[in-house]
Order: sequence, then structure tokens, then C-alpha cells
Amino acid sequence: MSTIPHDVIVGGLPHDEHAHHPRGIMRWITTTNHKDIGTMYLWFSFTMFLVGGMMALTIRSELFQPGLQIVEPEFFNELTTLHGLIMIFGALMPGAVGFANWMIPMQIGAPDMAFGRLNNWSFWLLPPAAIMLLLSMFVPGGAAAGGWSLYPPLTVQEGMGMDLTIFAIHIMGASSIMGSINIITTILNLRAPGMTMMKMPLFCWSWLITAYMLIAVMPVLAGAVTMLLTDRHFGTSFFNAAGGGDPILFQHVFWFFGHPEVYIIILPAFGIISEIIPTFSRKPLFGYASMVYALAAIAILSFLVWAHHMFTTGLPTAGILFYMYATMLIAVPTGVKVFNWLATMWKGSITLEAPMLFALGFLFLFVIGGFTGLVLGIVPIDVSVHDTYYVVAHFHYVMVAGTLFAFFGGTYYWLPKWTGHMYDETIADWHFWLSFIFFNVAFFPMHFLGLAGMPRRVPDYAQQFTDWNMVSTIGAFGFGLSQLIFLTAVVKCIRGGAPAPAKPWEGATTLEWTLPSPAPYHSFETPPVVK
Amino acid sequence: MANVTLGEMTNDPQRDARLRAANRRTGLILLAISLLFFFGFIVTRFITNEAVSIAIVGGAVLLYLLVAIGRHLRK
Repeated sequence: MSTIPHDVIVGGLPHDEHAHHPRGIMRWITTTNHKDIGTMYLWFSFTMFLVGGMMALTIRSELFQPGLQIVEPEFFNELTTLHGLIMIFGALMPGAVGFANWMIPMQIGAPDMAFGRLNNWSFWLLPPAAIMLLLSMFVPGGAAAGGWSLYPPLTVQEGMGMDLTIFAIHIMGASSIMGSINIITTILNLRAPGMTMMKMPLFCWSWLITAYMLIAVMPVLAGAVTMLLTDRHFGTSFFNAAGGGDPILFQHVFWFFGHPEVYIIILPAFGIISEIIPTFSRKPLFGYASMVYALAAIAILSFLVWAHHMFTTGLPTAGILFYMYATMLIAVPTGVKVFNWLATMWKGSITLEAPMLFALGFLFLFVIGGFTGLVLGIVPIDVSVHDTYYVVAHFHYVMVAGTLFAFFGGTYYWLPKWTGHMYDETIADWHFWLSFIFFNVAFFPMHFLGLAGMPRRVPDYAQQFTDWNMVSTIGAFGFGLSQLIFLTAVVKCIRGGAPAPAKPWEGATTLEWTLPSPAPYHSFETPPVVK
Repeated sequence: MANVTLGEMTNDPQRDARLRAANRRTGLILLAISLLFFFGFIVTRFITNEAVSIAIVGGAVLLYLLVAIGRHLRK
């Protein structure tokens, strides 16, 4: 990986005189600047995170005690479905693209993304899709209620809300593909002279591989929901058993997209963590090449394990064994990454600023999520806890404590570069500790509930599950409210604070830290030369 | 360990044109791959044997990934 001498400043303020762009709302609508678009992606992601979070809190409120208190069961199912779709397609994926937009050009020494207008389109497709998804709650029959995995036959029978969901997925998928094309082209063609592939920062590597994966799976998802649409309205029977179709086929197709999707969401998080840990350990990343190979191995293996989501559908024994062992195999490259992060910290001069706290929180909690994933990959256990709260606990440890914590860490890490101000460390530390504690209060008890047999996606439950559900709901509200601290920290940093130097972190080594803070509107018009 | 130095300002229209053409080429190839997966995936559903149709799509996707990612790993 490339490193930089501490006193080199590239692409300084003189470039800002070229920052001719419209003011006001038109700046944001017409912008082709990667930083503007990255900012919009990140705010969109955070907004959707709050919307999806409100849905989660409504779900948890209903589950605070047994019986039906707040919402009707039908609406509860709509909430669980929309919560999943919004968090995946509205919050986590756009969040990752926001980081990519901001950081990839600056990390590889490019002036901008390869396709500026395509970049603008990729973003502006998202708000209409999100609005369509949310409006589906208000059409006759309500929103899609079959879970985010959209299994037929339920989704073939649902009302107009399902059509809106399908169109929203089409649009978001198109946005993802356009974004991926842009990212791959930027990385392949616009790297600074001397920036060979194996000198690229690991964040860029993680996104290159993620973008390749997106090109592979988003068309598959789009194809699957298109066939769902034709089953609903044009008389085909791809998945409709009444017409000779096979509902299980949809599950195969969905998880052929859905499992790589998990890695699509987590790989950029790995990239962020791989930037933060060396910086705050003041050591180069241990085993850079093996980290790249591990990313590639995870990406490829993720396409070979989809049926571990379907162990209870009656797969042949040989198939079950294959998917079980393939699932175990993913632990190897993932273990390589965890080992290398730990080895990077070993004997490092570690300081615990907020980005590092979130990175350590990520490491600790992601390992828990990874291990419960291995537990679920073992067929006899999976059959026992399938569709229980154990699964809910597992994927929230991966998605929230994994990806979201990395995003928080990444935000604090790069905020000085984005805003030109240092964030308030005290507020950020409070954000970390409250998030860490309340996250565990919310989600750890779900392991117990799942092992005890509480099914997921139910608005009511048996009396014996009450105590842990109460604890979980309290934790969920605590976690949700903690995110207002994050909002405070970010807004405060944007509005002012101590001026940030070009390189606020002593151990930072990548190209973006050669730019002044805040990064000029146009950076690297003169390509830096990496030696 | 690599270092960064200021590059020399270059204003080479031919180089810029070549770069734009390369960007267009890369973008179009990736777009073609995604369209191929989308339509190819639907078309393979018309193969009556599900195992064969899944194998075709899965094999194509895996081959693409191996080639796309693998070719960068030695640079």
C-alpha cells in the first residue's frame, strides 16, 4: 500500500478558484462533483436509517409485551418487510456508496469519478425509489408484507404495494449498477501514475470487488422480481405453483442475490476498518496482500453458499453438505482478515479516538456475528433455530455492529477532511459507548429468545418470552436515541470546531491526507505521482 | 514503501481523449455484462431442467467474477 511523507500537500487551495458551480438547490440537483454526490448519498442514507429505525422501534414497541397493543398484525408484517428493504437498499448500500464517492477519487489521486453525470443520475434515482417504497404503505392492500426476501406465493397474491416495491427495487438496482460501473471505471482508469493495483488503499480494493459483485447480482435480483411481476400481471408461472411454477426456485434465485448482498454490504465496511486500524495503531496494515486475496476469496465463496438459507426446504443431502462445508470455508478468509487486524494492532502505539473505538467495537461484535453465522451454517442447529430470533440476532450483529459501526468509525475518521473541522471527541465517545452498550442490550437477548424457540416476524408471542423482549425493546430505544448524539456530533462539526490540519491523524498514510482540510472542491487536477 | 510527489501539470488533449474513450469502453463492457446477466437469467428460466438453468447462470457469474477479480490480483 502507498504511504506518503507527512509534509507533502497536493492539490491545494488554488484549485478552488475553479469551483464554479450553481448555488442553492440547483448545486445539489445538477452537481457532478464526487464530493457533493457523496455528501448527498450519506445524508440520504442517514435519513433512511432514521426512517427504518422508526419502523424498528414501532416493531419493538409492539413486542415489548405479549398481546397486540399498538399495530395490527398485517401492518406489523408490512413494517418488518419495509424495515428490511429500507435498511438494506436505502441506508446501508447508499451509505457505502457515499463513502466510495467521497474517498475513492481522493485515495487513488483522481480528479473525480469517471462518469460525473452518471454519478448524479445514480443518486437521484434513489429518492423517488424510496418515496415509492414508503408510499406503498398507503395504497389499497398496504405495503409488501412477505418479508424483505419477497417469497412467493405470498408476494404473487399481495396488492398494489407489492408492485410499487418491485419497481422501487428495479430503480434502486439500476442505481447500484450505474454506481458500480462508475466505481470500477474510476479505479481501473483514473489511478494516479505509479498507483498500481497492489499499492491501492484497501478501502478502494474492497469497493472494486464489491462493485464487481454488484454487477453480477443486481441483474439477477432484477430478473427475479421482473418474473414475479409477470407472474402477478401477465399470466406467466415462473414461481406460481398453481400454474406449474416453482416457489422454491424463487428462493434459490433470491438467495443467489441475497447472500452475496450480505458481503456487498460488509466488504466496504472491511475496507474502512482496514484504513482506521493501521492509522490509530501507527503501524502499516499487517499482511496487505493477504487482505486483498481474502477479500477476493470472500467475494467468490459468497456465490457458492446461498442455499444455507434454505436448509429446511428439502434439499438433497449432498447439496446440504456442500452448502454447509462451503459456508464453513468462508470463515477462513474472514479469519485471515480478523487475524491481520489484530496483528496490525499488536505492539502498535494505539490511541482510542472515536474512529478506533468504533473499529474495535466492530471487531468485537462482528466476530460474535460471524461465529453465530457459523453456528447457523451447521445444518442440525439451523434446522432447530431456523426463522427464530437467533437468526435476527445474528444478522443484526453483522449488519448493525458490523457495517453500521464501520460507517460511524469512517465518518469520524474522515469528517475532518470533509468539513475542515475536528469533531467533538467527547460527544463522539459518548456516541460510541452508548451505541455499544445499547446495541448489546437490544440484540444479545435475541440469541436467548431464538434458542428458546421464539419465531421471527410475529407481532405476538408466548408469555415465557416476555422478559427478554422487554430488555430488547429498552435496548432498541436506547440505541435509537444514541444516534441523535451522532447527528449532534456531525452537525456540530459541520458548523464549526477546531480547524482540522491536512493530516489530523498522525498514523494516516493514504493520499487523501495530502489534500488540505476541507478537501478543495476539485482535487488532484494535477495528478500526484506515487513512487 | 512508496512516496508521493507532485506530478507535472500536463495538458495533453490526445491523452484526455484516450482516457475518455477508455472510460467509455470499460463502462460499456460492464453495462453489457449486467444486461447479459439480466436477460440471460430470464431466458434460462425457460429451460425446463432447473438444475441446468441454475448451473448456466451460476457458472457464468462465477466465471465473470474469477476473471474480473483475478486479473487484477497479480498487478
